Amino acid sequence: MKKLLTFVIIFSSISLSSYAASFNWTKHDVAIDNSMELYYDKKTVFQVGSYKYYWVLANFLKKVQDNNLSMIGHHMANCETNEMKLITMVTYDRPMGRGNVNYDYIGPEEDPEEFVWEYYDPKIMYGDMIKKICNIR
Amino acid sequence: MKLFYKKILIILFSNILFTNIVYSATFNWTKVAKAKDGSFELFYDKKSVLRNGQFVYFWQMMNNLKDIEDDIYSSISHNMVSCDSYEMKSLTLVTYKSPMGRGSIDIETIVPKDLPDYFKWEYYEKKTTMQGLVLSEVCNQPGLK
Repeated sequence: MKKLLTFVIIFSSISLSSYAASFNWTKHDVAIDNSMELYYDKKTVFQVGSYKYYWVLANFLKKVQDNNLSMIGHHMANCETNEMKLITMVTYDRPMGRGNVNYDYIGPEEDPEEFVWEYYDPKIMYGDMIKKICNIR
Repeated sequence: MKLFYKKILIILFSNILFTNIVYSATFNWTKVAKAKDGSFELFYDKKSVLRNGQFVYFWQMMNNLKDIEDDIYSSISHNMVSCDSYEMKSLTLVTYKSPMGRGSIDIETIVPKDLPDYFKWEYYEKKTTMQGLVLSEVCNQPGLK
């Protein structure tokens, strides 16, 4: 019993400290054509004001362009309309947001005209992910 | 004695379960500093501190304690920092009519879009400014790669 208690205390402190400063990706889905897979970080989904803010990771598995094998972005969603806006995006030359940074992009600064709400049907991969994110308390 | 351990185990398991649920989508503010004149205090959320590329991103909350203007008692912002130079930019800013990011929302701003003139790197001295103290905590957070 004492051993079990010690284990639980250690596990509990490790699990709490791991919340600091690292992404904890949850796989959402893989595209039907296997071209990409999508992940999001549950622990950093926040409702602020009218919108949900969240981090997304995409691994590009096929038709890789400019050696961008993955991308991590910070997005915001309007849960009432299933629309999103991309705030920041960084592309990497290795999967899972590893390796060297290829491209660092702040959407509303670099392309203000492109910083518009985009609707995603919940039947498609990204739209379904918005729905899941919006259902997180 | 066995019953005692069982009770502690149950409490610990419930705690792990509870914290995992709560951490899904709620801020857990850590207070960093209060202004000398008591006019405001700054908090940040440790688990929101994340590096993506060359910058570190984090959520911050400010409580206005004195000289309240336009009924704005607090604000929450998402910020990016260059930990090499202690410069910061705010990406989003939401102001609230109650303390601790509660109450009705006053303004919701995507800074680079709505206030592009304010979307510029600002340097904060890490020991003598309130914001610098926050950046120091953020940039020195254990586990930050």
